[in-house]
Amino acid sequence: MTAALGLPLALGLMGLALAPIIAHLVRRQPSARRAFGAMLLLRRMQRRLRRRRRVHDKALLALRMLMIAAVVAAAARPELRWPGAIPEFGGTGAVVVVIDDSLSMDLREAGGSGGTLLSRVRTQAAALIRSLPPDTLVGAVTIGGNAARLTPALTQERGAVLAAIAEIAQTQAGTDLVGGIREARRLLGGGGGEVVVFSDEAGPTAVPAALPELALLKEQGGALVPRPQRAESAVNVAVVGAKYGSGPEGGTVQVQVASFSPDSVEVPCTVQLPDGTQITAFVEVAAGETVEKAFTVPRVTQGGVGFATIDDGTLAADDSFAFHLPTVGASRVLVVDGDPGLTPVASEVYYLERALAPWGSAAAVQGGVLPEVTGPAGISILDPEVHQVVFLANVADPGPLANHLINFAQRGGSVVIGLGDNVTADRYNGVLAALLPVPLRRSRSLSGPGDPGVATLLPDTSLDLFAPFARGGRSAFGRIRWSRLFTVEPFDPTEDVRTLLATEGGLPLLIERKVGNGRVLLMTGTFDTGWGNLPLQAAFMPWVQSMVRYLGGRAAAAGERREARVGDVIDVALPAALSDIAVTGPRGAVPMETTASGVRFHVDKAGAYRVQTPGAPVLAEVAVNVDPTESDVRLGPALAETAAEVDPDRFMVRLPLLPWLLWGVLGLGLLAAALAYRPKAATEEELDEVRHAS
Amino acid sequence: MSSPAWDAEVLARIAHLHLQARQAVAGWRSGDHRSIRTSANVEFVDYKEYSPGDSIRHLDWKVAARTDRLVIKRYLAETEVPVSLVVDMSGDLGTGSEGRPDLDGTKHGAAVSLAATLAVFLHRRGDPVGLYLVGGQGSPWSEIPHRSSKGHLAQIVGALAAVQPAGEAHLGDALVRLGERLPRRGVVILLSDLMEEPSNWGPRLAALGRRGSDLRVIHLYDRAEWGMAWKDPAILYSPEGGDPLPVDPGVARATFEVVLEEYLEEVQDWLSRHRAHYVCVAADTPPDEALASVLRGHA
Repeated sequence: MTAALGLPLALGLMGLALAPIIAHLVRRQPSARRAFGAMLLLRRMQRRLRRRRRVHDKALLALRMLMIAAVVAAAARPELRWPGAIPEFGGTGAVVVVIDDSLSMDLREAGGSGGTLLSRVRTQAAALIRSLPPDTLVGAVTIGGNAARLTPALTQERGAVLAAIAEIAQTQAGTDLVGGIREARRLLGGGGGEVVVFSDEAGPTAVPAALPELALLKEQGGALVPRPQRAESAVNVAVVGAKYGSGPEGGTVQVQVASFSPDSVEVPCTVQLPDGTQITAFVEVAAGETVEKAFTVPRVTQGGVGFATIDDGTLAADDSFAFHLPTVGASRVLVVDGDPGLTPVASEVYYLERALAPWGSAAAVQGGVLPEVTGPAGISILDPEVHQVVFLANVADPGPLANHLINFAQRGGSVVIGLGDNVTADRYNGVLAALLPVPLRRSRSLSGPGDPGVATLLPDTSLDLFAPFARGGRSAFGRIRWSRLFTVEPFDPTEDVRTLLATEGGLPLLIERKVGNGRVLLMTGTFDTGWGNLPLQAAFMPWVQSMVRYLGGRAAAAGERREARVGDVIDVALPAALSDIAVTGPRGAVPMETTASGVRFHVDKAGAYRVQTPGAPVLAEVAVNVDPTESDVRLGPALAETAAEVDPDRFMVRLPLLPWLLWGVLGLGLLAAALAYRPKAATEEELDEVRHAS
Repeated sequence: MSSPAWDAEVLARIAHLHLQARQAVAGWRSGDHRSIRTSANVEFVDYKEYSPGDSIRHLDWKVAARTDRLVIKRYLAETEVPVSLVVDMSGDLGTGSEGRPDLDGTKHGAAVSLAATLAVFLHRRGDPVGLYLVGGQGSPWSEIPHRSSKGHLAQIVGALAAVQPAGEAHLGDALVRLGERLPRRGVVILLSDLMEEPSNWGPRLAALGRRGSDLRVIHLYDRAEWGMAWKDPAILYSPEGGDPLPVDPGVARATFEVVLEEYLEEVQDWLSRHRAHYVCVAADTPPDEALASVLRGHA
């Protein structure tokens, strides 16, 4: 804000302000001198009245000086000037309407029950266009996300422009004011015209960033006409961040909640984990502040995209924030060691442990498979809530385990039965008949000494168990060879019993049976090197991992995790061999295009986006959130003030001070008069004071 | 004290004073007042131990010679009671009642007239009279010790006629100096405008009273000054010095009256506390009533 003078020379009269001082001094110095013998009494009187007299006289003097100074200042015609004036509109013959349809324009009026700012803007813009002279050329641009023209060029077809404006939909994107003014300039063809901007001008950065474009607009002869839109109360609370990190138990999700309101607020905040678990707490946020709230994740939690959500009744899009959560905890797998062996490598458990937890148990706790090894005696208590899968590794006598295993499978647990030299068909067929997919016959040698053995057929990747190998690794199954296998009774595949993998020659290698709510996989070979080279092949570890995931556990591996903002274009690199790629988002299927390296799609709504192929784990997950600057609905730098930097004359607010000064002179005069006539009354007060004192 | 005998103006004043004093004294009827003297007899009463301030004149030298103790002899009454006239001749006595004839109706004139009259009267009675001029042109302190000789009265009247108000009185210091010169008992008559803070001179006057002096105070004032009997604002100043003050009498008069009233109460409070007899006398008032009151010792 600056002050300016219409007639600066008038300030030369300011010397008149000294007149009261001169008058005051003259009044205080009478010309007559008189000898007085009772000065003692006068000084006593003076001491009593000094304070009152000093205040009285100086106040009067100051009032008179102020009065004269105000008169002189009024003669100089002062005025206050500051940027921010909204210039009048009309008369240039070309008008481009720039409409802000960004997220913050979704703010509702009347405490959330009225229309949104965008609906108000649509109405105002339409009214403005209708009011234009018939020969005026009109264009329209939206600036939510990336600025876009609603009309390819300026036109006199009002109907088309009005229809385009009526169809503007609320976006969740940020404000591209820079692009909007650039498009408006292009629509004007480098010439003059008016650019009417309907925007809430919210946020600290959108308007200042447009300064260069405003300068260019002025250079080409265009004029900016801001039409700021303000809600009755700019109040909003938003989740502006959520991130998973280390912490107690399964880790911590740090949620940031920001208040863009004039008062502190308390809102419920809920963190919803990918498995549906919800954790709710109340968050108190001071006005204009951002607070961080920690939510502890359970020890075992499914990975994926979670959401931190609040409910403040305004701008619903920023009330939820998507975040990535890795798989927390482990799928617990119990391995029953039926053949400990004399050396570590002589045991099936040695290979199974390494296949189940290839990065060690410490990493497995955070996500993956956590194997627990026990002997046949340690299986007395089996709970599907604790263990998802039980591996029987060459257990000689399953009798003591049978009932536990059957019950376990009935309740939803899964059992993988690995055979070996310890297994006898009669014993298994007797006690595990309720679990075995087919009865066992006997172990059969498939090759002689020095013979590499019978190869394994490549698996069918259309089966869920082998789907992960569709992207690669399938051929590795062909290098698995067997020197001995258990044969089984012939059977016809049914809905509940089927062969998932076989050897060349048709011997069943892996047979599945559904039992109750669980499954049983019968492996006719061994998990060690006794009957083949399975644990030495590259397919072994992913196959075992896939088995665990297939049987109800979760694999240690996960798809690509990305974060993005509404309006972004997402490129996901994928192996070329994949087909039937689909992208799903908050609204369901998302249109995408296939590129040389993968897929590309546009995110226009906050939420979780998944790239997946049928029967396979999610290939990529994208957590999409809104631009946090859009949540700041408070008044930012005004467009008019910013425009005033490049076009000060047009955007300067002028406030003449003359009327104020004249009223001030009148008031000061009245006050001075009251003080001037006060001595008589004051003397009475003084008398009272003296009488009381004496 | 220098003699003003050859100053024609002073000689005229002396004549005027003599005439005025004789008229005043002659106008008093016998029996209207009692003598200042309390007794013509000297009656021994007792001894007391000497204390600083006691006159060594009354030391019993025989006792001192025999016992090495200083003892004061005390009497019931002195043969003569000395009267000390303390006249304030500071500059403020010369203000007020401008335009009046010399010694007529002014504070200075009233002080001189009253002092001269008292001197004549007391001298005729045979009382030793001393004159102490406080302030005054030329010397801030001058004194004529107590005597009752024939030429003594002329000396006092001459001094009163010659003195002109000037300077500051410093009443407190003057009373201390007076105390050093006075006999143990006596009458002290102070003629002053008392325009000094009572807290300055009050304690000193009280010291005189505690020593046995009979205190009588004639407070002189000018009606025009105390009533602010002029119209136009003026810069008021004291001949004794100090900052001048611009005063609009129309505005200040009422407040001044209140302050004056408070001041007079304060003065009378000091004096009554030490049994001093107080007479407030306007400068233009005939001296008869005031003199009678002073000599009677009560109002």
